[in-house]
Amino acid sequence: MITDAEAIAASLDQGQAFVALFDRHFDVVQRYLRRRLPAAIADDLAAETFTVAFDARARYDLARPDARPWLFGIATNLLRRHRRSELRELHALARSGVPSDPGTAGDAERRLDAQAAGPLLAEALASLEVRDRDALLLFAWGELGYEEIAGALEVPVGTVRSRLHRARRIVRTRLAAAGVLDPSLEEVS
Amino acid sequence: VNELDLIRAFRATEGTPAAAAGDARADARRRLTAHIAPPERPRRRWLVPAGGLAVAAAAAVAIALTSGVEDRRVAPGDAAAALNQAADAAEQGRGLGVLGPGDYFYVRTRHAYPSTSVDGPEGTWSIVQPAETESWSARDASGRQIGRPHGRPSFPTPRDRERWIAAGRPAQGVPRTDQRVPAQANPWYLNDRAMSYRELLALPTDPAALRAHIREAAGDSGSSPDAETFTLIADMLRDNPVPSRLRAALYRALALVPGVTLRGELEDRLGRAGVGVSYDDEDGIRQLLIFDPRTAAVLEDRMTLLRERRLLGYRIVVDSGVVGSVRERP
Repeated sequence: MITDAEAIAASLDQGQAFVALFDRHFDVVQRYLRRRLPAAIADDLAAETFTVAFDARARYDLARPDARPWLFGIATNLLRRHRRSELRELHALARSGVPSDPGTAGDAERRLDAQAAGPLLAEALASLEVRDRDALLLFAWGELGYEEIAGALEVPVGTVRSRLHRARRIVRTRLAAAGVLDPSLEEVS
Repeated sequence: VNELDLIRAFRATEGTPAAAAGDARADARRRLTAHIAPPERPRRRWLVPAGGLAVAAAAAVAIALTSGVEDRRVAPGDAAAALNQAADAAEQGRGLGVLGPGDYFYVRTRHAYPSTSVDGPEGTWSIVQPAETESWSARDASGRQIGRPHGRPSFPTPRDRERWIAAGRPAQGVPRTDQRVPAQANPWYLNDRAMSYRELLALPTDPAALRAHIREAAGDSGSSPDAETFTLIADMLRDNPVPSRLRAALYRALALVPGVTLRGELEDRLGRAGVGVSYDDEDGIRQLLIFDPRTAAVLEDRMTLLRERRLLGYRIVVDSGVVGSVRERP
């Protein structure tokens, strides 16, 4: 199988070669955007990510075989236009319910699951600086590594590390304050 | 369980492909293949400026609505004088006051932006469907919102219109809605900073301090901090319940932004007389704000892609004011 970089190089002459990139990566980009935005906007941006990428393909660094970081970088740029939608959605989720009372729940339910923590998480994510949120969600939802996030956001790896660290600390502190996470949990970085 | 596990599980179902997501995939694939090989008229390639991807993407779907660029050559004038005149008018109390309990900020706008292409039996077309919105917002943003198409759609070429007709003239772009809006703790935004009404009122009213505050909130959005400052100030003046003192400070802060240029006396799309100031950003897009310096009201703002002399979109403030219920209009 040819690499993404080879497909992009071929697309400089034969535009249709670029469709291979779509077939490989559309689903992950769409899934990522759908978790951050209302579905209709997310689908539109997912499609736009690839038309924008096509127009920008001449500037792609062909030394990078995997195009995912580049595509996620474009998707993240497009997402900025819709930050207000994202925040509205998160604020709506934050208001949508409160976690069940751990005092009356049984052992199994005492471990608050992600669903119950949802409103708190939404609130915590909404409170992050946009750069920190981008880094965190590229990591958690985009499943990119540090190096790949650095490529996507065009910042040094050290910057990614510090943004992720800060974002996780803020989320952890908020969840701990609400009793969802044990505050004594060791910091994982 | 740590916070990362919880985040990974959060909104996981939104990320799983549903049937609808499959349709979206097919649509997106068609959009890409049509984009790579435009069926008829080859689209002029938009050169993507570094760091300006989002703007370039908006520009790539630009449609000529009408000639967008003001042809009149204006002598380089003093934008600050016009902006400060509006500020003076606001300070003389000819604008909005502070919203009290039970008050609603009402605003009616008309706007048009090009919509993305749609696939029909005879191929892809582009459409611009103008829309009108009305909103009533209390201090906590609770209230009502109405949206509806306004006027006939327009098309960049006759072929676009033919294809739309062949597809059965589908309604597009603007759903008819009339909905209640719930209260929110921090419903007012300066870029991505959510503010309560109290925080909105507490924004600095010293022009330099306000400009610095907005510039900081701009972060790395937009094509430059000054361009984004222009956008954010226009947004605030247009559709936020900004009381007179803050409104005056916003006009004065805009007068401090380098690159803001007086475009002279202009009429808005409704034929109302005003004064225009503009900012041309690095991506070749002009933002134009038309306001009435005697009342400090915003009349219209529009974006134009200068190189292609195309209007990218506009928003007109038809009417605004304070009313006592969501069934009243000023």
